[in-house]
Amino acid sequence: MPKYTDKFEEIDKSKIGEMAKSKKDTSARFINLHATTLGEDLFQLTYSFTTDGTPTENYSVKVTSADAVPSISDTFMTAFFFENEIHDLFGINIEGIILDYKGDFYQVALDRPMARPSTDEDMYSVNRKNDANTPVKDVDAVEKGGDE
Amino acid sequence: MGSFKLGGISLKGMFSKPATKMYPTVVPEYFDRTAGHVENTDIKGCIMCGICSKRCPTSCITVDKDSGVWSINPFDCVSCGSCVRECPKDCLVMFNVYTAPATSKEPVVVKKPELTPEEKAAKAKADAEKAERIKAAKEAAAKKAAEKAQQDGE
Amino acid sequence: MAKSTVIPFGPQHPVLPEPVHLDLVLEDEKVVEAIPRLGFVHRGLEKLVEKKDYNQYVFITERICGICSFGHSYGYSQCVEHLMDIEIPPRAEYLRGIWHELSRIHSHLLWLGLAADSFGYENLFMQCWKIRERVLDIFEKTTGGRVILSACNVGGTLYDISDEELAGISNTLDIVRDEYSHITGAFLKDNSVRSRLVDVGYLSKQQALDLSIVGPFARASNVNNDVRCLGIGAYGELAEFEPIMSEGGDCFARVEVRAKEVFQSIDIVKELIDKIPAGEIFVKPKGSPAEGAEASMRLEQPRGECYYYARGNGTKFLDRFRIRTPTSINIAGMVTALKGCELADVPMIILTIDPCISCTER
Repeated sequence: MPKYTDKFEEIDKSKIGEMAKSKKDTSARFINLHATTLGEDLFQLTYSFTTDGTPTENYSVKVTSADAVPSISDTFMTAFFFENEIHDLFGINIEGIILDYKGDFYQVALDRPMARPSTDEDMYSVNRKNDANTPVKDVDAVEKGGDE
Repeated sequence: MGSFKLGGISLKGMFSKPATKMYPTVVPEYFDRTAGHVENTDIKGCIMCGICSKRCPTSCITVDKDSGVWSINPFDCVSCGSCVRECPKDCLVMFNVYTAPATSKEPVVVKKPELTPEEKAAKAKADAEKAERIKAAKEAAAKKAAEKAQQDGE
Repeated sequence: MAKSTVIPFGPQHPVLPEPVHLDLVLEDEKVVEAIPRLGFVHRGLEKLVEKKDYNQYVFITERICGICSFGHSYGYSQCVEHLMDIEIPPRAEYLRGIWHELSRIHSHLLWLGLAADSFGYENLFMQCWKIRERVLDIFEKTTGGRVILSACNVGGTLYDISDEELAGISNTLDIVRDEYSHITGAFLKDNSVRSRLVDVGYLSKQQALDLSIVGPFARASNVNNDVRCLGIGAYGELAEFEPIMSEGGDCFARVEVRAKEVFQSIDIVKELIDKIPAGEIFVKPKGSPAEGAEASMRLEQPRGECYYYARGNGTKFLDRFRIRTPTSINIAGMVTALKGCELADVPMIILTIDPCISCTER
């Protein structure tokens, strides 16, 4: 059975737009975009492309949560899904997404859940963003407001 | 082109037996390998090593070595079969009948039986022999180390 | 002047197998725009890598989706074996290939039943699922589970199939092919079915290339990106493999591609059964993935190409595991195909991309 080899290459953050345009010119297909947590405030974005019949080419970029990453959804429209997901789960700022949900894509309960290892406190504490399980404090006020 | 392409099958279906079975009146026949539920069938031979508990992906098995208790929560078990494969003494068996529905989730607990007086005597004898062997090995090792130290000194 | 209204579609709808929400902007019965909304089944499964080690995590990847269950455990095992440089015995590759192609047959039969239900043909729906029961019986006889198989793990497969069982599988597939060929006539030649499917939801080849869509959705618009052509695993041992393509680009072409792929999968399984070598099926993995090692792998699932990525950090827990499922990429294609169609065609178009939303939002 032939052995499958894939390529990994590291590029700089400023070259993301250039890489996307060169891939579009050689009619490569966009496969995936995801983020990995490497440390306290250090993430690695991985862009994957392929040209028909060749192994996958993965390009990795190191960013922090303070960096503003340019979006590639103007060249590859399908990337809007992954960029919204990365913004919700890791808290990385991506600018210029064509269909931007502004943090409301997955409606996660914790803030940036995958950017840090989980603790017991996450389940039971005030870190939860919108806790649907908290009971409404003043039921009468809500009912009166609804009638009017 | 046309319509009623399934006419033949539908007409035949009106006059033949239904394809479904009247469960639960008809008892289903399961295959030999069907992954139903896990039981510890040999608690006497179980050495309480705890490997089944460590490999379980849902942590539904608890093993307590001091009190000799092995328990499984059948409603957390996903019938993956890891514990059955990893058990060094082959005590665990996967049966092909599913866990029956119940109104509360209780764990199934098995406890090691009390040893009979002959077994206790045999165990005490084996422990004593083992202690003797360890003591003899330690003395031999200490003697060898003392001889080596004497040779190095010369 | 045309009036614009917004109609919410989903998350509960009789035709959807899984919950997805769309806001349809309509002008007098024609859809102008569709805005998707997801997140109803997000379980955070990618974060569980911190708690389950690489041997236990395979049971989690199986449970991401009920239809593509074996495919995910296959892809995960292949990716981690690639990460740790483990070479598995050839018999295990063939067994995995057989189970994966059977999984494709059962997934397409399920989808054909749902498509028939969506245009109201319930009898056809029941006939498709009746045939599917034979394939599920094969799964239960060989592995112990009907839908969640638990048959694949890092290092090989966990169950072996004896020679009599393989001959039995071959005979059952002959019966399946016979019964199934009666039904394809109803999908491809019936007048009322064609009037619902032809010229609905058209996507041209250039649009398909721009939107990077995968799977039978793309093959119906004459774009070939089938990973089985790369020859990884047992697919490298086949005598020849030509993916089934169509030039229609509409819903009828997508139904045709999937209906014909069932026949092709039956032939592939029979070929693998003839060629399977004898030998071991499992190699126990030793140690843990190295620190900073990365590996990626692609696999052709029933819905399209699936991409897996694994990263190790020196302990028995993986640092990151990523699954990019085919429906995540096809959603943009679905939104484009919905523009300009009538409101009554919306359920049909959404079903023809074969949405598997539980895979998309693990």
